[in-house]
Amino acid sequence: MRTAANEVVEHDDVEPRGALESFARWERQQWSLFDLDVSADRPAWQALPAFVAEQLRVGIDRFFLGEMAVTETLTPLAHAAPTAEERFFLCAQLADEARHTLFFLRYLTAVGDGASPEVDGRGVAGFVRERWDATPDYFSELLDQELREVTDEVKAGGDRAAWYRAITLYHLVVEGLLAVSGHRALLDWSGRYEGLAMLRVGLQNVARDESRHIRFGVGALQSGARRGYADDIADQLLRSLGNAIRVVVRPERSFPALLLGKARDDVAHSAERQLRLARGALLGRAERIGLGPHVAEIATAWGAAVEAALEDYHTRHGRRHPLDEAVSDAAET
Amino acid sequence: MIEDTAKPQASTDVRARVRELVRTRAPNPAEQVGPETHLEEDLHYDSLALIDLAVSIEREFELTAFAEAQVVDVKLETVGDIELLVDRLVAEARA
Repeated sequence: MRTAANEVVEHDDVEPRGALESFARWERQQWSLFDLDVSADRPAWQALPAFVAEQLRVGIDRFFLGEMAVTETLTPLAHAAPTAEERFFLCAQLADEARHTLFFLRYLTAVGDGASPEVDGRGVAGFVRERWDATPDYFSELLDQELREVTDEVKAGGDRAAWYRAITLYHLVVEGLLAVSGHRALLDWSGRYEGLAMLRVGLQNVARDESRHIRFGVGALQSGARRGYADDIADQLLRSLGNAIRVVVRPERSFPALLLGKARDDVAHSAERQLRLARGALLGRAERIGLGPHVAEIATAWGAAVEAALEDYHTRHGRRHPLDEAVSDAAET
Repeated sequence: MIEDTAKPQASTDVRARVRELVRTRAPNPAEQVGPETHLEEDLHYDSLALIDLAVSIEREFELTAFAEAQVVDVKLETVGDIELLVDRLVAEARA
């Protein structure tokens, strides 16, 4: 089932946009999470095959943690923005991130066991900690440690290069690569079942916001490259790429060894398509930003990072990832 | 449903357990299924439902450690195909 939600994530490869224009779009594209009755999806969720429900839950869980981490660490970037217009936009983006965090939190509690962290004694902080503890190392290294390190550097009065490195991690890697790929995966799987309309509407709204953030980020980084920070931008991108690809591939997720025939092909081609689109979008943005001499280096690093993630899967599970064959096939053609 | 006795048969216990899993996890559950019941056409199994079924079968028969070579080129179109595959893997695991 293809919907407007798919359209938002399929057409994310767009021209950069200035900060004030992005702010104006933010004003026109407001939505309220309290308008979404997320509990309406609960019956359909509970009827999902167990494996599918688990994959969707983990995907939403990761979105929730990513949005939470971004909400907690974005403020220094707004304070240290090179221009007032960029500061205004980043303040608006912060409101988006908080809204996204709450959307995923409400959805998880509505379709899950129904327990709300506000009322069951754990508190949101405890709820979040439990989830961080359940994530693989590469995920927390990228979205907990590295995100905090780059923003701490900005907060501590780091130079302009620190700000551009942080924007690279936020807008190019976390939003442009991880969030867009995550949306595609969730829309692909959820779209095969009736009754998950609230998830799809929420994802569509989040994806529209993130498309705006990415355009702003690419515009800001384009300015940075013109001012001589292209090496810093490329360096941050290359540093984050290995863990970012692991977030997309999720090598700890075990596909059944009995995954055969059509099901295996489907999983492989879906994953291959997501990676291919993400690679094309990232390299296109790198070109637009003006990372010219670094683009080939980023493309090489991408291939190595995918290979490493697939090898990680092989090591963990003792068999090849379904994507492994699709990547080999694509390389041969 | 009349079973085709000319084709190789899975052992009774494995066959019954596999058949029940296939039946209950089908997107379009049937009251009865037999070896000739088609996974896609009769029970409407799609890719994700097949993944879910594969996970269930692996758990039910503890089939998590077998070589990829053991399942290469296996045809899985009917309930009987799955019964035979699982029967063979169970037997090889015990050997």
